Amino acid sequence: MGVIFGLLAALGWGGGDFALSRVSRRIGPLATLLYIQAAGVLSIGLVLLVRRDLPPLDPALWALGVAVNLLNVAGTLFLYRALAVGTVMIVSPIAASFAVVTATLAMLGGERLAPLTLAGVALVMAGVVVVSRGEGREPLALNGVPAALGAALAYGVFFYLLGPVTAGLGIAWPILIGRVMACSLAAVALLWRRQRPAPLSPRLLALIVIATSLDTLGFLAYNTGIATAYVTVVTALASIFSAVTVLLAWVLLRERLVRAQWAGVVAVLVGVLLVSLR
Amino acid sequence: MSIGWIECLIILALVVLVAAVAFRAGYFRGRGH
Repeated sequence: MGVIFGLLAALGWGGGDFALSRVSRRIGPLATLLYIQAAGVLSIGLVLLVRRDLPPLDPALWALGVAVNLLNVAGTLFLYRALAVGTVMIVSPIAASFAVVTATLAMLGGERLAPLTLAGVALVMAGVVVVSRGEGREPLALNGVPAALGAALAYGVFFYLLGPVTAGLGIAWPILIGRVMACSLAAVALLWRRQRPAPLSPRLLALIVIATSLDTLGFLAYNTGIATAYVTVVTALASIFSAVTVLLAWVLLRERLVRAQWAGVVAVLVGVLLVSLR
Repeated sequence: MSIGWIECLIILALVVLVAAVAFRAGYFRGRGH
């Protein structure tokens, strides 16, 4: 069962990222942040409502949740920017390698990492370098790589700092805080720039609904999976959700990579898998 | 070496600062392609 939940989580998150890359490319990162995060607030709110999951009233914990979620919002904005301007097959695995940042911080914090984890960290770093070097033939292919690195860094620190928050609030409430912050920030930013977000065409709305449903499916599958004692298998399989995004971009967008870049993408994905086995 | 709250807050401030500067510079503006 662990395998099924892990795969479902990877399909949900990976497919969701692919769908939102289409949204972000159409309407830009800020409007995407507004629409997708607002839809996310509804979906996670529904989950919390169905579970009748009431949060503990601890102001310090909530303040911490808000502070830490600044990184979440920054990471999300970087991810949307990367997916809007970049080659999905390149920026998606780089942004999804945040586990490496989290592991590195844990190591600096005194945690001893297993040799396999260290090998994973090295593999991801090598993979990012190889995939970013390209061949010089297609300079456009590297658009979005800085934003993808920014996303990995912000998400990596975010998940490192999230520990004490989830210990008190669980995982769903901090996510809700982050989404409320993200869509309010997007609304304020658009107002400030006197920019009107793109109108919701039926096609755009469909993409937003698909992206949000898949993301929520991933979240539910992951939570159910780790609650049923298959933590290692579920976490490992879910961690390589980006492989799903890469496959979808390869098949549906017909993105093409040179052989060295393929090797880099595979190295990043395998490295993330090794790190998440920690 | 160990990471404490101070170091983490510094990293948090740095990442948010970078994002804010990028935002102000129009890095996240407008449509994609």
